[in-house]
Amino acid sequence: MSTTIKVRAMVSADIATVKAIINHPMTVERLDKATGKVVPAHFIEEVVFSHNGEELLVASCGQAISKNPYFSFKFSGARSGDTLGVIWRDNQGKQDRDEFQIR
Amino acid sequence: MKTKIPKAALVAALVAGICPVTVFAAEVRHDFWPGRDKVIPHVSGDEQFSNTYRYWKDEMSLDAAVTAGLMSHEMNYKDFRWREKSLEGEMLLGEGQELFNTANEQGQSCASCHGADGKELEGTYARMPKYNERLKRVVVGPTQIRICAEERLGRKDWGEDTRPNTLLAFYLASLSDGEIIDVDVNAPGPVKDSYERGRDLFFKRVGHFHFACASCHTPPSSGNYLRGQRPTTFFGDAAQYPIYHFPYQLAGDNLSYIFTMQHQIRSCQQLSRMYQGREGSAPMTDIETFLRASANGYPISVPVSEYNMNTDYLERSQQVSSQ
Repeated sequence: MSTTIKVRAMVSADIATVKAIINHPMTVERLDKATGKVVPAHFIEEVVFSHNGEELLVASCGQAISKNPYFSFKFSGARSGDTLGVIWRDNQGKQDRDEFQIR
Repeated sequence: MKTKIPKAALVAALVAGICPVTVFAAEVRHDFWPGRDKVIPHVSGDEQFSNTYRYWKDEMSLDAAVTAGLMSHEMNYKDFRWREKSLEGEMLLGEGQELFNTANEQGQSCASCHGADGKELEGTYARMPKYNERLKRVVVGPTQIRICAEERLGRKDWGEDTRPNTLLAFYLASLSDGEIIDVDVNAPGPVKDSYERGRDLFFKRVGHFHFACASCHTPPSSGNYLRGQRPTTFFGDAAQYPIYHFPYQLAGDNLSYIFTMQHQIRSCQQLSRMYQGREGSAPMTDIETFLRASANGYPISVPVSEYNMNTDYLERSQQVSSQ
């Protein structure tokens, strides 16, 4: 189980509401106050949501998005018990993925 | 022509000249505590104040009220917050849990006594504040955490308004999620005394603005907008604390936007220009005892968000009518 992704997906009358939050620092490039050295940027570049293995939404993210980014959207054609996959990938090559049941 | 001076005015001027302090004190009326005698240590006491308890006493009543098209302000703003768990809050619970299991140099952690992940502390937050026999005083959750950390773990910097303490309080409260609050203030004893002192403080007018807590948190102020905020009556709200309060924080805070009850009281004091108490101090503890006892009989709901600026509910009546 992923520790960086939390998802709540609920369906009512064929429409699913997805709320997802990803634990990530999302920092821009900056200078360390103490040493003056450059601290490289660290941010999510892409988040992919999939519904039963089929790509549903691809979000291209940048440095302007805040720490612990929150995504919320609705989509139709969902049923209770379907799986919702989430994958994120950041500019340092780190990534994480998890799957959740739609309630 | 002789000017006519009313006799009463002359007397008043004379009295004011002789003892101005007495006259001033009589007009300010520090003993004006409307509502104090109606307070009971149970969440249903709200019937005597906003009289909306029947709409939000449980989820079923709330569903019925919302379906009937009742607006948020008609329910004393009690309809949001406690029902929907906060995802952002859940993220922070992980940090609290980590702190709980983190060992110090001697290999001791909170988990050494209380079980991994605080298994043995489930449900305890519902009975805080509690009388501590050894310290001979009533303690709130964060104070108990500070004392434990100081004495058992040697951590001197986990005071009530610090980040580790707040995260731990948030995590421990979440272990009691769904638990019915039960602070026993009926039996004579220190907790009852604390409750009564807290009640008196709640209704006492102080500070630059000469407000009491009750000035905002009883009708007619509660259930109305107050410079963009929505104050509610004091019944039941303590069940949602510590609360995730994004994006609001006090200057200099680094508490990840979590407000413990103590921190919330201090925030209110700051906004209404009162003297700000030290978190965990005796009077602040008394106020928390009063507030938590006023939530007796209501289930704890942590983590939730204080979406104070969220106005989604204004669209609710349209949704209901279109269905």
